[in-house]
Amino acid sequence: MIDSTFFFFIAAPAYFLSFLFYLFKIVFDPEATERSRESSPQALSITANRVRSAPLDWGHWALQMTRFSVVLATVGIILRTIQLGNASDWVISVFLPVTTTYGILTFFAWIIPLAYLIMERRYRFEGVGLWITGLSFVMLAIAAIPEIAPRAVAPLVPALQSYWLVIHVLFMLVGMAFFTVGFGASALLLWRRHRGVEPQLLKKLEQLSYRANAIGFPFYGIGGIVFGGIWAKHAWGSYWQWDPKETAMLIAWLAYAVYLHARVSWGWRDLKVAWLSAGAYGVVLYAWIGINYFVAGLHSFA
Amino acid sequence: MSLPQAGPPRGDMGDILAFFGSGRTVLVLSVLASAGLLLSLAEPRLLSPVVFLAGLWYTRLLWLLLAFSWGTFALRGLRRAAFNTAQRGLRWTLLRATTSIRLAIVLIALFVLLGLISTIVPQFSLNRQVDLLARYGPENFRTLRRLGFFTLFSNWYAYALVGLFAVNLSACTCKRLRASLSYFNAPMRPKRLEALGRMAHTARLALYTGEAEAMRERARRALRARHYRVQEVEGQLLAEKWRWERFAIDLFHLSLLVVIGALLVTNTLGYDLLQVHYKGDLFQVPGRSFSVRVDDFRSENYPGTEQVMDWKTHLTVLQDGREVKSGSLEVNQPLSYQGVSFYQSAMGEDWQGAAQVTFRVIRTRDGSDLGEFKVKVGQSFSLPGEGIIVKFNAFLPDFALVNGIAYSKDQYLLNPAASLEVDNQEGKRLFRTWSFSQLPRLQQVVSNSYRFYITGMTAPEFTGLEISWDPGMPVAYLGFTLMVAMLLLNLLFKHRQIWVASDETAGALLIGAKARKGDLEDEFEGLMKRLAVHSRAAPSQTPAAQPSEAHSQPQI
Repeated sequence: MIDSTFFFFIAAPAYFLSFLFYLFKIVFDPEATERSRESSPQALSITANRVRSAPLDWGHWALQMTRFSVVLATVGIILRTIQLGNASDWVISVFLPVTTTYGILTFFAWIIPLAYLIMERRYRFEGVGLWITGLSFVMLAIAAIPEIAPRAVAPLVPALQSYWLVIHVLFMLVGMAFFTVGFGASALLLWRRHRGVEPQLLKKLEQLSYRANAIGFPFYGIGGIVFGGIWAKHAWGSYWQWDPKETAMLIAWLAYAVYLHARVSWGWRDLKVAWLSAGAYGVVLYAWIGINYFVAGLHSFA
Repeated sequence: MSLPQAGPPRGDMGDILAFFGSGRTVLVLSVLASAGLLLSLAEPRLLSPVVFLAGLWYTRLLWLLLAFSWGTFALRGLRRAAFNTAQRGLRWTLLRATTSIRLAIVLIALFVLLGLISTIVPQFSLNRQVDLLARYGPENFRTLRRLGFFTLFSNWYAYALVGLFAVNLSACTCKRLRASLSYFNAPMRPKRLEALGRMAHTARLALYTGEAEAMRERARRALRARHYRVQEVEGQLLAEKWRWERFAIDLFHLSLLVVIGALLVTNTLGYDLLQVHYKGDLFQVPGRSFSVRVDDFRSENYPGTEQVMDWKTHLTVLQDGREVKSGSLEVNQPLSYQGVSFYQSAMGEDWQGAAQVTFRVIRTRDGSDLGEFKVKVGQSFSLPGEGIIVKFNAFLPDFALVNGIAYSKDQYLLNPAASLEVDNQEGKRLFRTWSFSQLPRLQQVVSNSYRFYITGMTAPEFTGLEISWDPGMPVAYLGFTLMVAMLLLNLLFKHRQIWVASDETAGALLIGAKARKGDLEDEFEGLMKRLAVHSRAAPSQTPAAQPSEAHSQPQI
């Protein structure tokens, strides 16, 4: 029977293929697109610089493959939502399949590449694509291990039966997806700075990182502080309780606030901001995964 | 640091002080100490907190160095402040100190440390004291409690930190607001032609002779159609829109202050209680003249499963003995009356608070059965004819022993155990014992004069209600609305400015544009396409220069 797991099952090798194509692109044809974009000013018609001279354009195929994988994952997410709805007797009509480890992993493997595809329209870096598709593949691979992420569709516990589940979680996840793209760019920058890359290229990478983080920041903040607060008020009686997850989220948000101020107000542009961006992403990871290993709080639903 | 050096010339001592007082030393030592502290808090079994709070010589040395370092750092700051006050007055120094980026970084770093500790050390507000006692052991528990680590965010230092942060934020917001006002009031000025060619977005439209005026008119109309305000100064068209968006970020910072203020109002004026109630309970609501009766509650499962679908409680509000409101509440659907809200927080069987257990008591000496006794937790019973009083001290539904402390790991009947205290009639303690329902044999191992076996257990069902009154809520929602709206405005609108000038000698129209974050590429290209239709088209006519070329660099 074809259900959501089937689509995630085939999305995993699809992401792996995209990963390979990105790798080929970087190994066989490094920096061709980037250079062509940089040296010639953008002409009136944007399509002009999409013309490629390489005989086999791995970058193009990698992008197409990533798009295809995202489509597969989209179908999976839709099916998963319907399955969860059926299991929960449709007690509420709007929700997201993000209530289990399996659900969250597959959801990330959908939304992070989606965020990358949005950023990719303006800043194309195969290295970042490599990171994103590789990460998505790993997430789907972990989701395929039943011991870590059971596939069973558990009905919604009472605490999650609210449409704020969609609003709050979606905003947080979108924020994290863009932070992931931003981290990819920062990491690439830190990795490639020693390799005699043109400063122009590093500048563009830095811009990509900043743009992605600057989009993620309002999503993460609004999703956590405002929508999380309103839901907490609605469900627990107060909008802020210093629950470990809340606190960790606030710290991560503050870390990105420091990053944005360092860049915008104090004019930092060099490796220091890249390190800041990477560090802030570390805190986001702590707020997402790390926290669950230390203490149980209001956000433990398992 | 470009600040003037104050005080006497440095000697060796001065160098040492400068080393310990430098931001870098403070940072390195603080990171080391914080990491050690966090590690010892995270794994109490491996590294007891005492190791890092008092014990070994190297941790003591580290704390000492840290204190010394922070001390010299603060002293240096104070000396600089005193010097500045003497030179430029107190107002300048205060303004500089409160808007200082260093202060902001130090505050945020301290706040991050506080937050990390609170995510590692379970807080009283969300945990039972006994769990924490079991986790850390009595000695470390006391140390941590003295340090206020279990109530981190209701401590004086947390309030001081948030207060200082609020002062810092207000001062920075004021400073920024002044800059925004002068930005808003600064008029747009014409630019030199060379400067236009160097802008983030530039275009050059070649013209037929005598067409300059008409082209400019077209540009003016095209810009107006896109809601630009257009003025003509010194023969240049100056167009702009969304200048006001600069204030969005100021108001966003203000919204953060509003939210902090709301939190303060809630914490000082409001209340938030978690109460356990049984069926039929009647309770008074604090600060209000009405009382509430718990009519009924039930837990519903998903059909055909053991999975909880919902918890529902039915309440009736009584004022002067009259029923004024009656209604149901469930998780995510609270019930409100006169500003007080009731939330469904928990439901279950109250084993620890109100278990009723039946004990069979055997006299060890001759093995005779003294009968069954049904007691509620916290109550006592006497063994008739024996002159013995037994107190049913505690009931743990899921017994566990950690750090020498017995506590319940869970609220479900997994390993039920009852604690009994046996006294004689004079009140002298004879012995204490634990009776396990799943391990009755343990009673035979110990050599007490009586043996207690659990033969039956019941507990009343309870509903956990969260009762809160929150006068800060409207303020919080105001802050939330402001926050979302301002971030949205900042994301959607970016101040755009366009200059249009005619270059008479080259017979071309020069256009330059800029926007915050360079975010007008699409609009600029659209505009240029529209104007290019009317400009001199074919490249062959102007072999030297490209006829019409728009050039945008992504710029931030």
